[in-house]
Amino acid sequence: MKRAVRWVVPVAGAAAVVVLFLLLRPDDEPSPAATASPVTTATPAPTATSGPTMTETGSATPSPTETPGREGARIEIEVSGGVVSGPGEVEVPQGSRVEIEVEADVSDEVHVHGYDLLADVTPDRRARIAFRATATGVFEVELEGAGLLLLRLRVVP
Amino acid sequence: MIGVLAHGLGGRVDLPVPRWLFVFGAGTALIVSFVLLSALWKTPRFEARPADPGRWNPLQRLLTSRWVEWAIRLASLGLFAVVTAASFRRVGSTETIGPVVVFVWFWVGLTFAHALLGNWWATISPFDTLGRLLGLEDGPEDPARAYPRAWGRWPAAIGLFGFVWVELVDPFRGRPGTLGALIVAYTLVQLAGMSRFGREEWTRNAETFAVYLGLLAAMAPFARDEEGRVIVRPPLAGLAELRPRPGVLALVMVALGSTTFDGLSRTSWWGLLTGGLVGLGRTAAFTAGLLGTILAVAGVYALAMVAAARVSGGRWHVLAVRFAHSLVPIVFAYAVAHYFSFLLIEGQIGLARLSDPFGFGWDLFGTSGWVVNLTLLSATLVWYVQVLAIVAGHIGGVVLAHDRAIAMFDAAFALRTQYALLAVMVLFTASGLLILSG
Repeated sequence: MKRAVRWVVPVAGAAAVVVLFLLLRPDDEPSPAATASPVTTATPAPTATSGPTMTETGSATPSPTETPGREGARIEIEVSGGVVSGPGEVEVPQGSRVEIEVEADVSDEVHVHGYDLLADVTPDRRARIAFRATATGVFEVELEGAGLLLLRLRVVP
Repeated sequence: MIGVLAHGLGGRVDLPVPRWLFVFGAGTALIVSFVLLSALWKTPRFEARPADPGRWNPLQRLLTSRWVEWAIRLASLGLFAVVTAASFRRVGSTETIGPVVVFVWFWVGLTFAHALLGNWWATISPFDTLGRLLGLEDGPEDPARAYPRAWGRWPAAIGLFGFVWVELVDPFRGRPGTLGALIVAYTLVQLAGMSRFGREEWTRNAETFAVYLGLLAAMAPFARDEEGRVIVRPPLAGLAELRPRPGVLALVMVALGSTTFDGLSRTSWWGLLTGGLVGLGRTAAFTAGLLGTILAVAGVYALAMVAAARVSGGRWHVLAVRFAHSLVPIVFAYAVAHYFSFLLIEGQIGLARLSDPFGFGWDLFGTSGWVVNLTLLSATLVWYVQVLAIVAGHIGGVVLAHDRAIAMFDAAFALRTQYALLAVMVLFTASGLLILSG
């Protein structure tokens, strides 16, 4: 009797954990880890390398995101007197094209961390960095020499 | 090109954990705590466990051989020399092998390796090897000049604060090359301490990484007995054997608080708060944030101990020291949750730099052209690992605290003293998850 009780509690606990997981997990979540199976939605394959494969996915993309769609995001940032004016933080879906343009009153270098992309900026030449956001995460974009944070780019699955 | 010291390494951050997974993690932590305390674990299992016997066999003889030991020591010292020299170069933080080995391989990698596999640092520490080579064995003969007992592990705790300050506040950003000078300065302090107090005595108390990594290694299922033989023991069991020493609690608080601050400083909230700051203003804000987080973590723990002392009687700070070991699994859990993707993604830079350690354009092993594979880990995988780590660390902490409580007090009473500590564990777990989802 006592022995039985000793096992009931842990088993019930384990069951509760499993039930909690099944209840909470969003069922319509498109698994980003899944290897490319483009049957229903034509999402760009997340595992594809960031080479110059311009696979523009058109037609049926039923995800109405409030942020820039999969076609791409254009972000403009201006630095003047050490003050950054820009969106601060931008969220884009994985696989979208991102274009960052920086205008500054100093000569420096714009660095997209993680993707490790660099472009020079001078008072009379803006920096322009365009790439496809294949990897998820939050990436900092900095004015490298000054150590000034320009943007936090959030790439979500 | 002007680079940065450590920050070039931390430019990619994990996406916040989704809300549902956060709720699931917290719920699981509560359920498991209840099951552990109510059904399992009625008698102490870790406290006063008999010593594990080591046995001689060919593998043990190989592991304890002086030749193997010194081959490893010298290889490690060689890598240390290369990393130190590379850390003097005034180029970007990912262009030499220096910062990536120090902040990713060494700091994060060794933290993981020690908690899982035992105390490697005792063999690979370049400071210990240098001390041995220079013959700094003997402490002072006059006991009045011996290492003061009251200092305990405080020098290590202060050293750890210095390290996390350099890493997280990053006061030397924009000044590459400083890291090399810092490594040399730290080495000189260690050698001076060894020559003054004796190698073993100094290392045991004051060499930051020996103390910190030794603490984590106590939770590993592998250890060495007095004759150097490898023994296998239940995970966490070694933590129950730690003797309380001054400064250990401070070291644990610095470790816990600094990882929490690292998470906090990567939230959008902190980014928007301090994004415009540069130079000294930024350093001041980050220093205040780091100190504040460490003090907040310590304050929460102290409050729980005051509450527990009201139930059990006795002084709260005595209890605080006696339960400090139960926080070590949480230190490890926080480290896994925050740095697991950092190790596997940024750590790749080190593989490329092995071929070109000084950034001269060499290609020794044909790997210098390797590019970091950012898509190695999916966002979902990272989230699951993070939540699993936090919940597992929570379970480890509850188990250790509970084990000690039932050894110290009688069973019914022990449970009552546990409520305050359990509340702390739940709070640390919840705040750990909250920062991951923020």
